[in-house]
Amino acid sequence: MTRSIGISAFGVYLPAYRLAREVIAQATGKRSLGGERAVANYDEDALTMGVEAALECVDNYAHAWKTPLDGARLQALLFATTTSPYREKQAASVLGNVLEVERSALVTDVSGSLRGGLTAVRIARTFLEESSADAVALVVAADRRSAEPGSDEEQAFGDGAGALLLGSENVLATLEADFAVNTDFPHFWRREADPYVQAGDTRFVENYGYVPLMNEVINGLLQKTGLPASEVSKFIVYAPNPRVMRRLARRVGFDSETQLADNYSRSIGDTGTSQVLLSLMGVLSTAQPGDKLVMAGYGDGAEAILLTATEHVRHAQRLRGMKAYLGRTRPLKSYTKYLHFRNVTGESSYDAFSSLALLWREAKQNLRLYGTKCSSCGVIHFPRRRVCDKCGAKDKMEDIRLSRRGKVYTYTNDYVYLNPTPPGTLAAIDLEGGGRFFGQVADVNPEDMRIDMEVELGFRKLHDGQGLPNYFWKAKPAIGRE
Amino acid sequence: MAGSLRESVAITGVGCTKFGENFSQSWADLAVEAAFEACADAEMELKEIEAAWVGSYRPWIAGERNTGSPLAEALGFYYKPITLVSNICATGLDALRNACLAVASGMYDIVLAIGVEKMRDAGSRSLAQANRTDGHPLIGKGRTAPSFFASCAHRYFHEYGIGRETLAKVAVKNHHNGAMNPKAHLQREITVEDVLKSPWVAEPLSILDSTANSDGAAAAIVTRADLARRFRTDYVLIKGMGLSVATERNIFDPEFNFLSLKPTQVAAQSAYEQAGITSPRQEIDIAEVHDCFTITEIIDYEDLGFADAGEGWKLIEEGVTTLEGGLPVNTDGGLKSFGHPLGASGLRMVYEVVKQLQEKAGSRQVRNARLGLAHTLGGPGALAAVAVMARPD
Repeated sequence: MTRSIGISAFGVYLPAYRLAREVIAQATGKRSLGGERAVANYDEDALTMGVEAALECVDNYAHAWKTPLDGARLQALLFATTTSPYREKQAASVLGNVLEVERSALVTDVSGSLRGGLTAVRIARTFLEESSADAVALVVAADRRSAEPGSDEEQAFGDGAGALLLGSENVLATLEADFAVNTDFPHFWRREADPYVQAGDTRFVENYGYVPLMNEVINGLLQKTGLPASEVSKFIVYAPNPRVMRRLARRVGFDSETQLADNYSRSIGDTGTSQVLLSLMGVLSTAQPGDKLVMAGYGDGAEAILLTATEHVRHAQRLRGMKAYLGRTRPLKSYTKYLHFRNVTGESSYDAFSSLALLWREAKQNLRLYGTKCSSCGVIHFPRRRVCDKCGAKDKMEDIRLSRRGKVYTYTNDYVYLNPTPPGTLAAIDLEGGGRFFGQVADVNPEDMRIDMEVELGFRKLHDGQGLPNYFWKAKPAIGRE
Repeated sequence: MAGSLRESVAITGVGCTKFGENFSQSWADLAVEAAFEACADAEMELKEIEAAWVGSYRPWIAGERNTGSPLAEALGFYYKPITLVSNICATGLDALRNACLAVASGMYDIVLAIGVEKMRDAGSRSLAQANRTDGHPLIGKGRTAPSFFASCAHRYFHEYGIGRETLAKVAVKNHHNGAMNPKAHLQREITVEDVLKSPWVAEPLSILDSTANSDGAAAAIVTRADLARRFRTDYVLIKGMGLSVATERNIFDPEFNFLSLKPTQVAAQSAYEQAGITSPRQEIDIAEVHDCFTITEIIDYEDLGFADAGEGWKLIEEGVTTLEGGLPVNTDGGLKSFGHPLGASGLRMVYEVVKQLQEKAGSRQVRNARLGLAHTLGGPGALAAVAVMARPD
């Protein structure tokens, strides 16, 4: 290895909604798998959740290391997902647009397989080994997979995203070694026209796919590094359900009580490409220096990485992580509403006006959230202006990136605007550092709205006007930083 | 201050259709009724009109072109100058304003200002759909007129400590007036309790805090003041007209307080200066103001100078703006009860003010009304128009 690469920061994103599996079971006449699953709101997809996790990761870097991340250092951006909103066109480029990633950076989607999150980490590691010492790479993994109503997968799946910042400086845990097993084994798949993920016969795919392949890759990694399983602090493994994960532990030979990391399958569900990364984030938040961590992803074979927690790993406690997101939940009490969110019931037929040229022209404003600040009178405008409407100065504007945090100035719960979950909450928000945002508020109980309430701006899809996902910002209740 | 009309322009005839869900009437039917009633009121022939300004915010939703032609076609009024005016809810008063300016310029002696809006052909939710389908795809998406004024109401409650009951009294008052008006859309009395119990539109505003979605048209014949006596002795003089246009992106302005709407203040100030009005609360005898929602009427009181900032609600609580009060407001029922075909509302207000000044308002007649005001607000909060009218004697 030419240079030691490790994880500098991470970012969690979990949608606010939780659907109890009992609610699904009652609606579909199935047995409940127990616990609950995270459900993306109707305006969230893999890309919006990925953006949230990525922004969270960048913010977290600044908190962990008491210095903001210099954007020019970000030389690679990899977005792993099996559920990109685009069949053709990168989703990573949208992420890069929001994050202002350098035009010359390595930007790509890693798609197709649930192990894409780990594959992306391995690609980023290889890339950074060949890059300058201060280069960093961002790996984002997100999934919002849809399963057939009434299927076991519908209960097992969950929606979520995670992001890891990799580099050779300011490292929480070092990437020591990796190992992969590649094979053509369809456990989950979805063809071009399939609306839902398909799964093979459970006994076959677990006995001939998941357990032997994961065992092979984990043992391969341990043999390669000479590390006995007993010295591994945590095994962080993808699993489609908790039962088969315990079988894997027995097969590999580690203690599922003490050595197996929580992968949140009971509380969140199987979040696809992001599941292993989120599980790692939970582990890092409480890890001790020197801890050996094995993480293993699954899909079309398997992939495993050995990490060692550094002496700085306790900085991870400063990051807003799984705990904050597990504590911020809104119960989704109705299965019908879940189907609405999943668009099973069909979307509104009212097509919003949009324009490809307009969206391209205004990306700085609409995706990167830049307003203008008048250099003559100091007023901050959003939307952007050329002529100041306070002092009349023409073309004397400076760019200013708006804060995503603010307080509600006034609000309403509106029953008029066509919205999948009326009422639609709207608010005028005074942003930290200046500027006012007016827009929709997501993930809030209408009766909880208050003047002066603290909110954050989150990335959401407003509609599909002109056949494009039209992404923008909505406010949502602020999540505290402990 | 720019110029003024110097009392050079008069209204000699007005017309107004019944407002409501006029499913049996087309855009053209509405235009015909309002225009011919105005001509009859002025005791003149349509062909004497030299030019027309037609206010219609969205003629295309009723299958009409976005031009002057629908009016020419409806009236058989061909080969003369017709200008389409579209300024959201201020459309009707802006059509009147342009007609007045044309007469004041000396270019024409007799012109028509008409507002026509056929809302209901496009369905009861057509305005709601427009919020979703039209406009910028992202900026302010989701904002509706109700949600704007509801946001104003929440802030007003927060700042001044009033609640829904006070707003409800605006609706009760305007329905009381509208119940006496055969041309009003909603001719029935309501109670405060009715308002509080009616379903939400945008919290804290309910359906009964909101205007109706109506079809309708209204028209005025505008002439040179020195010719007006040829038509009638009780013509009405235009004393002042103001129009102020800003932006519906006020919602993004960090200095915007959601409590007062500057376009109303500026348009009123302009009209007042032309009319020589210095204390509107004392001098104006009857006012038609833009009450698209109950909170709007209260904000209007303050912006029009009827009350100080934060005290508009007292006029309602003290009954100042009832028919019997010191400054009757929305004597015909207002948008709330009379209805709100967007482009027609301004001229509907003019119709009522003229009838009041002529003492032809029947059971709604305000005693000794000599100076009247009409005010429309659009955008929401982006623009406003004000007209001040007076008896010639």
